[in-house]
Amino acid sequence: MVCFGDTRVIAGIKGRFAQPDIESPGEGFVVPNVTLPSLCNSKYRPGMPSDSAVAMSCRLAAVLSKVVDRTQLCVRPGKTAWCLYVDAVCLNDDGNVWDALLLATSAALKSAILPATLYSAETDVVAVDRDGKGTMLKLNYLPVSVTLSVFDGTTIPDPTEAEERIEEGSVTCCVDQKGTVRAVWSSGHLPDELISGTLKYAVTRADILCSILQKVTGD
Amino acid sequence: SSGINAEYGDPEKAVIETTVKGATGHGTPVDKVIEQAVTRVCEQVILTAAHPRTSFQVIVQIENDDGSILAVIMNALCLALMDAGVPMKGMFGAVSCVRKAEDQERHWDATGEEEQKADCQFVFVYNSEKEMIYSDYSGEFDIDQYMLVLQKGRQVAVDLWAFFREAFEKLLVKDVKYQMLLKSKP
Repeated sequence: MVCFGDTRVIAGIKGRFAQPDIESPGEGFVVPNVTLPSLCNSKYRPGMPSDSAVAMSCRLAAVLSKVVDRTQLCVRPGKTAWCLYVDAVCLNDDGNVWDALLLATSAALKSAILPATLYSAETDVVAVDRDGKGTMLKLNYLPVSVTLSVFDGTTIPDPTEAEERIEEGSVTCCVDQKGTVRAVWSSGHLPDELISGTLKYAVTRADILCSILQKVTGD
Repeated sequence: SSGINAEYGDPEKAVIETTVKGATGHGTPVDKVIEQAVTRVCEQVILTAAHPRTSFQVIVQIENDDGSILAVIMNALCLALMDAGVPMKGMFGAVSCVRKAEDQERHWDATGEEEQKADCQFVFVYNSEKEMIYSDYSGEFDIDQYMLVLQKGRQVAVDLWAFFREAFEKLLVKDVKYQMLLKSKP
């Protein structure tokens, strides 16, 4: 669970067996899902997932598709593979949910263990070997993001909900543990001088977040 | 193609509602991301404070997606807003660029095939002062090269606006009202 001020997000990973895609028999699946329930903020109504939740799920899927190498999720090529359901639930939305959920998801992925499996040829069943030693999930990189709100020529990192409501724009920068920028999306009028300064600041802040992440998940 | 009409809404400024419909009937989550992008750009460009209790409905219908879809949608959006006569702060233009994995070369306005082989993708939307108002980038790049593409994209945007102007001039040549307006002016 990640808390950024009052914003709280919890993420977890559930593994299930699935049949791999015919076109990629040696790969498993990673299915991210972001839930913004009505309990986290009154602006979210119960029922169908809100547009923000769907858009965040989509962005998370795009980020995770490059993070997890899906070939390690294969158990039996063409027959069985792991399908990892990555669920992130926001418990309280006080702005900047995206940063919190990406950090929570990274922490969950970093500490995820793929259980050992047993295959019985007579019954043609793959089962989890509870006595066996599982393998840690291997990640290509550890994504962390820094979001800043744009106000009248300055940027404020980690906006609260009140700041988000009146912001002129926002910049979100996804960085990996080595400081390489992996994705940036921004809206709002940004003069050039502000962009490079903001991106450099985002990298230094991401470094702090990464070190906290590595301290908590153990490295 | 895009369509716009006005209805009731927020008492302080206009509200923008966007719907993006993909080429293949059923909606996908990617459409929601595009909707958010379109809404944000519209909010910055349209003079929303001049139209309280109004809602602008922007409907984007993707007929065919062969790469650079976000940039194409933004450009179509600009032309549609101009065509509808919506008061805007200025024009805007979108430019997209990819860097191919094999040769590390930059390709502007990539096709679907080029996008699949790319390891970096950029989309920049510039306003009429050539400042960035929206961007979307994914890949493995460093800040200096990001700024370089941002600057080179400006020249591409200028060419784009020249094309917009040409397109509108051709359209207005056939417009009777506009021709009469030109003749009535001394």
